[in-house]
Formats: sequence, C-alpha cells, structure tokens
Amino acid sequence: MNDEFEKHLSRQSFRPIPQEWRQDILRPANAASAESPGKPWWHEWLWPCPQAWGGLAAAWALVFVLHAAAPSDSANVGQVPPMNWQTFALLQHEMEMIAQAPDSAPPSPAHPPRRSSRSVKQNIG
Amino acid sequence: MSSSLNLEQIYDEHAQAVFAFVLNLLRDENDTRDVLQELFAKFTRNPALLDGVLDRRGFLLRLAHNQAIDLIRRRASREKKSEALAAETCAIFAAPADPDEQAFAMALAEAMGELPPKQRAVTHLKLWEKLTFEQIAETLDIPANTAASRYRYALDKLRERLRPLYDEIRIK
Repeated sequence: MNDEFEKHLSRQSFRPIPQEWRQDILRPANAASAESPGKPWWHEWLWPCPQAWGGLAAAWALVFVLHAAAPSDSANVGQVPPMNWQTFALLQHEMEMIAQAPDSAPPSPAHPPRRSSRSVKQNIG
Repeated sequence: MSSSLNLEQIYDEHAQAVFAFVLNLLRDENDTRDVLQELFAKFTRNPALLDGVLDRRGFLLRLAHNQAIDLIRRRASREKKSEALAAETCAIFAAPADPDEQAFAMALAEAMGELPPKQRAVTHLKLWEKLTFEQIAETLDIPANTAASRYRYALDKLRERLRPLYDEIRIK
C-alpha cells in the first residue's frame, strides 16, 4: 500500500455478516454430516474413477460365472465311458471264440498290411 | 475432532472475510448467502477437503471466488444484466458515524460496483485482505503480473472517481 488514498480505502470496514446466517448455514451442514456415516476405507481408493472399478469388478464376476458354469475338460481326462451290456456280451463272445481256436495266438505280421491295391497304383501312376 | 466442531470453527474464523469478498463480487445478499451455504455444504460432503491446507483463508476465498464467478456467468447468461446488477448500489460497507465518511463509503461501494469483477476481486484481496500479488495470484489462479496490472487499473479508476470526496475529507 503506497499512498494515503489506498490506506483510506483499506480502512473502510465491511458490514458484518448477518448473525442469523450462522445457524442457517451450519445447521444443514451439521445435519448432513450427522446423517452421513463415515466413508469406508476403500472409498478413497476407488474414488478417482468408481465407474472403471465397477466395470472391472463386473467383468471379473462375469468371467468367474462363465468359468464355473462351463464343463471342466480336465475332469473328463482319463475317464472311460461306461460299457453297456451289449458291448460287454459281444466282447465276451469274441474272447470265447479266440479261446476255442486251435492256435489262440494271433499271427504277427512282419510288415504292415498293404492298405489297398488302388492306392499303390495311384502312387506309381 | 468432530467435523461439526471444525465447521463452526471455520465459520467463526473466516465467514466474515468470505462474506465481504463474495458480497463485493456479487452485490447481492441472497446470492452471497447461497455461495456461503454451498461452500459449507461442500465441506460437509467432503470433510477431507481442508486436509493439508495451510492457508485456510486463502483456500476458502479461492473456492468462494470460483463459485461467485460461476454464479455471475449463470446470471449473465440467464438475465444478460450482470453489469447492471453489479453496478447497483449495495450496502457492502458498515455505515460510519461521520456523514462525509458515510458518503465516501457509499461512493466507494458504487465505484467498486462499476469495476469489472476481475478487477474487483483483485482490489478486494489487496485492500481488505492485505494479500500480496503473489498470494492474490495463487488465490485467483492468475499470474502475479496480471494481478498487479488489474489492481493498478482498478485503483486509477477508484482514484479518479473518488478523488473529490477524498480531498474534502482530507481538508477537514
């Protein structure tokens, strides 16, 4: 403040704030603060972008639900489907036939059987 | 430490200064009250707003200024008469006992109302809050040079407008 004029201006005092305003302003503020409980600790952490965090949580929940609902492949590995009685009877009949044969040992081919004469011709041709 | 105790303490320490600043800017007691109510409601909604704030007065004045400017803009777009409202005579100063001083105070209120809000804000903070230009710059989020030039322009206008009355008071 350089000169007397500025000092004179600054000596002018403003009229006081109306006294009834104190109650009028603080009462609603206090009531609101009493109504609203303290925010949980995670509120501050999530506050920067609650929509993004909510979306991420929803995506994870969806992944979890889909994973739980889908049939598990690993559970089926190594499991043999149950044999029905017709297959069992057929298999038992074949085993009896083999047992009754004069030479029960199956011939062991020295070479793998030729698949077909047609494929050989095609290869040559 | 409860938040209600804090609010009352904040009110008792700073409400008068914020009231004078906002009233000087808005020139309307109802609008000034709305700004103060919204300001304290903001602290209620977010009690951590003042955490770590060293200069509470400056912080409050800054928030109040932002709200007042928003209100001026809304009022201007709504009614296209903000300048007319600003120029209205508003009893912003306490009435002195001396009639000449009273006339000077009324003339000062009118002259302040004729200043653009940006100059009025700087002038108020400089003359009645005794802030430096650096503090004003921080409060109003403007460069310090801008604050200084706005203050010089405003002071020249006030001097020109109030010089006759001021000289009369000095002669007596």
